[in-house]
Amino acid sequence: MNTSVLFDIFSNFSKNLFYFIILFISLNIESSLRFLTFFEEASPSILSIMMYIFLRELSINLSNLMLFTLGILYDVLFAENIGTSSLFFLVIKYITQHINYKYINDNNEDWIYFTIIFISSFFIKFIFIIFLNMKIPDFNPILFHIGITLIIFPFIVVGIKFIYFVTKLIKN
Amino acid sequence: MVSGKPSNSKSLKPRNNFNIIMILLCLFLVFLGKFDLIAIRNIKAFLSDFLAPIIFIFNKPVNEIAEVLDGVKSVSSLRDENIRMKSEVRSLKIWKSKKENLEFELLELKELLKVIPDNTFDIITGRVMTSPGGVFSNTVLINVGKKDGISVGQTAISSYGLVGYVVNVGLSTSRILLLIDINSMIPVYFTDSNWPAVVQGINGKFLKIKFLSNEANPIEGEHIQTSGHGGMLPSGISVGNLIKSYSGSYYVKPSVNFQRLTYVSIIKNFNQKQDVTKKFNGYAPLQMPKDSLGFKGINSSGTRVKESETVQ
Repeated sequence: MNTSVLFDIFSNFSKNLFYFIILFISLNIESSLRFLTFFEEASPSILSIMMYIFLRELSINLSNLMLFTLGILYDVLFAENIGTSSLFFLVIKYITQHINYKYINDNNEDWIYFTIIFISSFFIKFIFIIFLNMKIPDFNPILFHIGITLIIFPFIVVGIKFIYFVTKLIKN
Repeated sequence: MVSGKPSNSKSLKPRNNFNIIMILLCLFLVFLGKFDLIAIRNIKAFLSDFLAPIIFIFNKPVNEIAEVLDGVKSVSSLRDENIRMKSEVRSLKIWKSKKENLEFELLELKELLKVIPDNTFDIITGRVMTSPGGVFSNTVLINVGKKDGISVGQTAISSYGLVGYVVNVGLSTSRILLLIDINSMIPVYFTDSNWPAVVQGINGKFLKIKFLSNEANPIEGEHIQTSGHGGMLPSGISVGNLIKSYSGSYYVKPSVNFQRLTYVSIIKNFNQKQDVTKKFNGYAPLQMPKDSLGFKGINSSGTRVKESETVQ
């Protein structure tokens, strides 16, 4: 096999491994946040926010296999129906990559696009879970989960922008 | 950030078409998971075992922060708490002396009647490693597993009452389905109004009451305990208190605070049947235990009887 091809494979693998580790850390942070009294009802979906930032802001094409694995780990960690979170993450990726970004042109575009993407993906997962359990869960934690995710989104984006700004400053 | 951010004129197009195989695989897994196959269970248990130390490392700092915040909050109300505690200690002292007298009396009566002793439970306690789960599920992972004698279906309790039951067991970890989970249904008994019912989790803070008789007149605030119907859970474990919503429907507020679970005990030997008839040598009117299940609050002909009536 050609050396450059091998190098490409190794480079792609190491990159994906790095993204996987970041997303896995986000997953664990999301899980641990429920210990705080404020997130007693539900914790925000930090993983969805990170995925959106990776896909939209950093233009990183997260591999489907990685999202699938991450979804399985999420399901094991939160003891949800196996496969539902993988589906949720793949739908987030699909919508983020296929949504038309032409229509909204203002400073809040990211927030609006994230709201559309997150709510539509979550709705699909929600319908799926209702269908699987044949029971309608309490709406309070679900609404809290959606609300807190949308509220926390700009803070995470600003935080990442700040880190980016500082690293750029150090580089210069 | 974000130099890599695409302009609005261009939409982000993936290099490859969306992988439909992945979606189909997810759907296949979802339905496979619903069949509750042993292989899927084993994979889940193995992954839980594997992930447990990582989860614990990540959860530890946040858990500590939460404890510190709670500590700070309690410091602010220390004076009021102190006054309340002092009055509680006074009333508890009175109760203690009453309890000691009654306990002695009960022991004497039991000895006199040669009452068959209840099975003593073999309990093992484990530390809770995760928070109570996500939006659609409420479970916790504890650090005791198959090697400690845990098996699926065993009851999990805390010092406050019923926590749930074991749904998945790994070698060194077990997953407990909490009472508040939508898939949990527990047969209960209303201790004051004397009615049996079933409580179901709704993934919220409270539990829904199901299969309660139309004739029932529940008393707001009354205590709810496990009835032991079905033989899966021991009877008499505290579940919670009855509360009435604004709409007039009843819910149960669990005794256990699921956010603050640190240690959970598992009753290991509840389902191991003991042949009590061999030990039995009591006086009449004590009856020989029958093979059929005795439902608390319902006599052998199926009609409801109040416990006070039975005693008289």
